[in-house]
Amino acid sequence: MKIFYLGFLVILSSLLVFGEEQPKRIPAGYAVTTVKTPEGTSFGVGGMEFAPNGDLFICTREGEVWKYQVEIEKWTLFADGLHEALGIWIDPKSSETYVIQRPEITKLIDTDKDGRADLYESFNAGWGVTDNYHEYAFGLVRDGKGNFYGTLNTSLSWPGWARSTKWDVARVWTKGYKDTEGKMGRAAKYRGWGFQVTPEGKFVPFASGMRSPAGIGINKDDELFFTDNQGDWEASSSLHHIVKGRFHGHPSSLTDHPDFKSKDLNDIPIEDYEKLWKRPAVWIPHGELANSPGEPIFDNSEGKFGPFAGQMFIGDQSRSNIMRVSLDRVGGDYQGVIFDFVNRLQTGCIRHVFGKDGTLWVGQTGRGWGSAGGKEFGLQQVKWDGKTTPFSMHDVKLTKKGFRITFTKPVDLTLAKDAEKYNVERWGYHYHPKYGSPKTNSAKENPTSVNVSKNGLQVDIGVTLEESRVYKLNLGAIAAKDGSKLANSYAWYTLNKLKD
Amino acid sequence: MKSLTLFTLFSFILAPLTQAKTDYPISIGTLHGQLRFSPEAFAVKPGSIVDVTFDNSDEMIHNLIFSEGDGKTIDQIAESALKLGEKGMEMGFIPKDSSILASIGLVQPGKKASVRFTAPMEKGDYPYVCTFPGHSLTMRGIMKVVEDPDSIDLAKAKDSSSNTTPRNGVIEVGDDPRVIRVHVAGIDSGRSIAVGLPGGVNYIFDAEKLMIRTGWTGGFINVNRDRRGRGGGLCGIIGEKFQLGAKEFPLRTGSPDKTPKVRFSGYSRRGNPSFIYEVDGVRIEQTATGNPDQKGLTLGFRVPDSKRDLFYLIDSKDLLVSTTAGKWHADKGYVQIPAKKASEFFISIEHK
Repeated sequence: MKIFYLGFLVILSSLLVFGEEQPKRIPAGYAVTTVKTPEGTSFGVGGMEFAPNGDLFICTREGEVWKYQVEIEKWTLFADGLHEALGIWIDPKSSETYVIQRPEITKLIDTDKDGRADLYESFNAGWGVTDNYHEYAFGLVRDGKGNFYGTLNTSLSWPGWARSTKWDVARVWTKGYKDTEGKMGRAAKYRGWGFQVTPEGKFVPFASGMRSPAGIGINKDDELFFTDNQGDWEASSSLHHIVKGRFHGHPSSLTDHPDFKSKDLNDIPIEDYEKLWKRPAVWIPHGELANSPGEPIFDNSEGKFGPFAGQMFIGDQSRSNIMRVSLDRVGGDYQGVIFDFVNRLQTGCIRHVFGKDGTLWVGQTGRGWGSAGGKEFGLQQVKWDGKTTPFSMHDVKLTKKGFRITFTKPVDLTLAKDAEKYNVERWGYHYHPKYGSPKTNSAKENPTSVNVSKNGLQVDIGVTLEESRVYKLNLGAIAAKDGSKLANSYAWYTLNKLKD
Repeated sequence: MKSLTLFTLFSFILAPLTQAKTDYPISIGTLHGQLRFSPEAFAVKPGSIVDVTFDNSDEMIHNLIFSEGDGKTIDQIAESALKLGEKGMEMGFIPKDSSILASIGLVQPGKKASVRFTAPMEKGDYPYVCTFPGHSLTMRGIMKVVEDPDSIDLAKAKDSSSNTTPRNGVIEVGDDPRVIRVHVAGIDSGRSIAVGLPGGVNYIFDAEKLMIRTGWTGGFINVNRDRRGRGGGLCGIIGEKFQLGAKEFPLRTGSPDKTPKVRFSGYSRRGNPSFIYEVDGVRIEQTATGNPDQKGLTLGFRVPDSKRDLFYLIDSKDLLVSTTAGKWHADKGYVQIPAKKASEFFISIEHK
């Protein structure tokens, strides 16, 4: 009893000193804070956005929209009865509020100004939807010209899983594979598409080949990205750059493509699909880093969130971690590197928004796919203390002979100059109708050359370069000049194209 | 019951003669376009003389009835008012009902009218309502009869968590209607909207086919199967379903035979939920009311700008259909509403 009591005191005092318990892996200078969600409310976060006055609006899988007055920590219900609302966009000037739910994009209007939406205006419903649970509609971002963008999940079509033949439409496995390989299909119009809705409200099918595109993000230059989840035709989870007309790999969506009208998608050889396929900008290795990634968000805080300004952050629902991406433009296309960042939070991380002060708000749900964090839903913040520079790989860029690794602070020169301290592994993936892919063409090596810059911030390593490979760099043996270790010692670089 | 109505009249007429002092001058207004009274609550002492002035600043016609009982009582009064049919206008939609304490007949937009009455001796809540067809669901308030009216907090602050999903998945309808988009077992639609009205009348509006798919009385819905795990279980209706002879795209313009071009525009939740859509470019607003003791709904339509006759298609097997405008053609299976009468009309669909 006494020991128990002492233990309790230790826990209590550590909580008093350090605030709440912190994730096992988190860079120095960063801390996680849990925000109390509305009492008695199931709160699976589907979308988050700040209103111009600083109030945070959150829509949920349960179909509600809540307003959070951050300063006074007060929650107020703004709207309810939506159908699994998985994205929200608020006009930074006029406060006009749009949500995306399964059947449509809805503008929520509080006409009598009592704080509760009373007019639910259907803004666009250009896509088809059935009662198939997998037909999620994800969003919502808007570009500088006023176009909205979102992504539409394929239908769960294989009767073995869907428990009905009702949705078994446009499932693709191609000749030579068993029909059980194709799991997702297209039971209604534009499933598996990314779409645009113009300011006039016109629906434009924008890019095809998506499977389970659970998050869409946009950068300052109006470039669009989405994440997809491992499954049939998807070797691993991945991050894609959306450009109008691109085909991202899952063929069911081609049913709605004018070039494939009246064609049997199962008659088309896999090689033809592979030629059309735009490879992901960044593979997010399944099982190693993420299993079901959510929304990508760019750090536009200009340093308020630490030394990674301009980079992208992505959460994962099942592993409950936050990852960090640095893009590399090679041969006119994006590829790049992904790192683990915070691992792990209290539950699945699928939505993110930056506050004006540079706080990263993480919207969470653990329901449905299991979540390492354990909680069913939640809301957490990741904050940087404004002063501590963590020792991290800031980015990894492709060079003609290998990679240039840039660090946030100088490395220990003795360690950094030793090629034996760098473990480099590479592999490829199959493109096929099967569920996920094992690694193919795997190889391991140590760098053939290592050059450390004078200031100790950059290391060029020479390695064998091959296209269509993921390179995993393990720098666990490298330390900073001041002795600090890397909180995240792995980098996964997706090499689609070599440098000219 | 007649005597009570007379009492109302007497109190209205006799009060000035007897010079009884007014204890509570109460002014009740309307919220413009919202089908709501303002205020929705006031408090008086038992047995006091209450002088109510009804100031109708709305663009619609309204009446005002004070009654004994509760929400169910005024549901019944409203239902009887609806049944007055063509005599309704004449009688101000004030039916004969022993529960009625006092009433003011139809008040035109922008006009005022008064009634003077003695508050009941028995302490408690006494509802007031407008029984003009389609208004009773949301145009209601409470007269509180209490010893110390000044101590009552009339600001009925809405509990912000009252609309959230409880753990068992059973969504209940309280004082305000619920509107929730769901996939419901037995209704093959990706765009169903379930509406739960206070008192236990519910229906599903299909935002794709712009038809009422089903109605039911009793509880509302259970969303548990949809909110567990990945979801995928369909939501369940709690209560007794009834069909409404629904056909796809039932409201048509110009001709009953032509499938119209439609657009679902959304819905308003100010008061009784009102669905807004376009049929061949004509804007339609549609509400529904019903009686929990009866299988059926009264659909209210507002079509401010129809240049052509409207048709509402009903497969009327086992159903009784009536309309406040135009004519029900049982043989043809549609209600025809002349364009000039389409600005506001009601169609009642009941089971025989």
